[in-house]
Amino acid sequence: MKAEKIDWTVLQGAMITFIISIVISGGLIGMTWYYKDKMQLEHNRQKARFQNISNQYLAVDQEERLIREFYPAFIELYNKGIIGHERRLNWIETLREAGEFMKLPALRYSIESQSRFIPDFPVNTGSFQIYNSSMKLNLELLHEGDLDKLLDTLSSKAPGTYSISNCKLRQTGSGNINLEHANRGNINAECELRWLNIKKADGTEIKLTL
Amino acid sequence: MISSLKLKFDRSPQRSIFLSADKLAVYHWANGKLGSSYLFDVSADGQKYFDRYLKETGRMATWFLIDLVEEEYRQDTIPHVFGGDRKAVIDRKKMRLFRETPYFYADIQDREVDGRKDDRVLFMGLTNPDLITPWMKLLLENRVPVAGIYSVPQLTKLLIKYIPEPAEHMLVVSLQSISGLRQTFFLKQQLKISRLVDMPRFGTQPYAPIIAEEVEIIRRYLNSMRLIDADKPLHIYYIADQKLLGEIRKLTTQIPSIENYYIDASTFGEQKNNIRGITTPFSDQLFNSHLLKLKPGNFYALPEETRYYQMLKASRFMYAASVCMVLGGMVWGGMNFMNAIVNKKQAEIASKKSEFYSARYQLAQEKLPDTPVSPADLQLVVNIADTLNKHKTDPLDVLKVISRGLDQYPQIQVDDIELAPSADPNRKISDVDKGGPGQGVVGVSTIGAVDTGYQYYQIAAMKGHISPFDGNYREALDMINRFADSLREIQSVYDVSIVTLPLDVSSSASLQGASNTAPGTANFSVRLVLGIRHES
Repeated sequence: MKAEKIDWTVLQGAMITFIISIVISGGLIGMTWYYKDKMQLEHNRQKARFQNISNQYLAVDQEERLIREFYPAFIELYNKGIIGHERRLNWIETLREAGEFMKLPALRYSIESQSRFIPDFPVNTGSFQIYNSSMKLNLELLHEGDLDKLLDTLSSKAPGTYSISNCKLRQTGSGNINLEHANRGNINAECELRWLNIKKADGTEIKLTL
Repeated sequence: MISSLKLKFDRSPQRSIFLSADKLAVYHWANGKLGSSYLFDVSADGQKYFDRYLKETGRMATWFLIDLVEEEYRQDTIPHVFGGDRKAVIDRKKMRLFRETPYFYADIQDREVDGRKDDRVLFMGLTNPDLITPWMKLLLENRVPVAGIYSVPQLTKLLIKYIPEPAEHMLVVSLQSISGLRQTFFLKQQLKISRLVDMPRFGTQPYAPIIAEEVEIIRRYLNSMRLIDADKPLHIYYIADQKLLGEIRKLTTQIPSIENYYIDASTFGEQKNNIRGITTPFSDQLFNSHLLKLKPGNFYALPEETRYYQMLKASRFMYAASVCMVLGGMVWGGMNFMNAIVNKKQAEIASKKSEFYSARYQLAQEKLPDTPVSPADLQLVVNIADTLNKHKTDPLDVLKVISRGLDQYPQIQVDDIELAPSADPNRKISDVDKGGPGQGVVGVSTIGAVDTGYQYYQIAAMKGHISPFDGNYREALDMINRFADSLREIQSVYDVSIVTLPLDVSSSASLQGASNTAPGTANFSVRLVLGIRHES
């Protein structure tokens, strides 16, 4: 039927009713849909919150066990300077004391600024990073046993942990190196030690309030 | 008049209008039954009263039935085509057969069995449209929704399936009070011809002789037109009241080629159309009731005449759609609302449970010591430190191994040792690894990147010489080889390679010297890899 043939006054009531019904049904569906969505979101939020808190609650025993098992070791690491701030002063003091005690002809050292260290062996660092301070030692040794003693002293007395990245021993006197009975000033040793420190991923120190 | 019947578009109240050459009757229909009826003269006054009636009764859905002499029937054939082609063919036929009237209908009945197998079509037309148009004009002016225009023969075709014992040749004879005697012939249930005869006023003359005479006339006509097979009887169905049927029965001749059936309009109407109280021989109520009950599709009405009915249907559709939408909205909305309530309740339950566990978690937390990192991170940090400690390197291990090797060969003197730990046993740590120019390279290891089980390696690059050296290179080379072999025998030694020898005796090297000169030096270099494995 062509539009000009349509008597709109006849259809007026039906059309108004139709439009009103669209508005009413649309409104009903829209409002209830919105309300349903809102409640669904609220339900999901509360459910997630419940799951989170219940998981935390269930993990308390585990946390307690972890604290009991690892916190003492953690404090020990802090005291050694492996976490928290480095104990450079202690290192230097230990070196001097060892040099004087062993009567080394020469002991020179330099410590570089701390930098990030990526080990060549696998280690899970999680949300932490490993840093190192490179300590270069230049020693005049009576024999190679002095190097052993010095490193032992550092390991036992200087707080922290280190790893030797390289070491070079060279005969300096006219005689040959006798590894069992070295003479005074026979060996020049150049060693690089890597003092290791664990920090948070953003590079900040782990602070412990004891 | 009838002011109480003011009605708008309403689904239930409907009506039929029955038009003859003299009268126009209106039958109201409600709740599946015929209601009151109204009669108007076919005159100017009748039209005036009809107009008033329409104004007072409103826009009620209307079916328009006619019973006029001016309805003509033409049998013809058209090619068996469809769609637009069929419409074009029919339009051409209409222009040829019924040029003067817009009221036209083509009933496609069957197909010819021979030749092109054309469609057999009965073309019907109302040859005097002036009989209808004044009434249709009034209906349109009053915006009455007219569903269609129908004729009594067309309606009779729809009625014959209810007639008992329908046959191949059927002649249906009925009386209409406002039009007269209608005789309609059907061949194989298809309308072929119909004839309307004016009847004297009811009661002035006996109807039975007239009916018998008129039936004989049409029977002879059918025979003359060869519309009836000679070997098949003509079944004649008389529809009237019992009294008239009795009179007709007495007058009809009993011959083999005719079989007569006498249908009581009252009984038939009661059985088929729920009409009670037909006390006259006339079938007006029967046809109108049947029309309103069946509500067949339009036959004659023009599109502009049915436009209000189309609008009525559209309007009804919109009302129905409105109701459906509101109901649908309520159902959908109700489901949404129920879902929302369920979610709300579940959220409240989850919230209460969260608060319950939160309180207990707080209590449990208060009992734990305050740590700078989470308990899981405490473990991680300790594990990192442990791993670092396990990989702590000590170069003196390799020095001790070399020292054990030298114990057996006091003539070998060490000049220079470079030590480095590495996870890679092939790591080059000094120029010893590169090999000196002019010196042979012997016994370079072929360490592959295999998993040896060692956590890391201590690599030592040693430079040394043989002292005292008497110039016997053969003995010097042998000593160095044996020194390397003794190192290899030590546990944890992963690889020993002699990098340079005092004298390169390989064919690829140049060699020169003098036999009477003092012995030179016997320098060499060795690379040693020690595997370190910390027991956990």
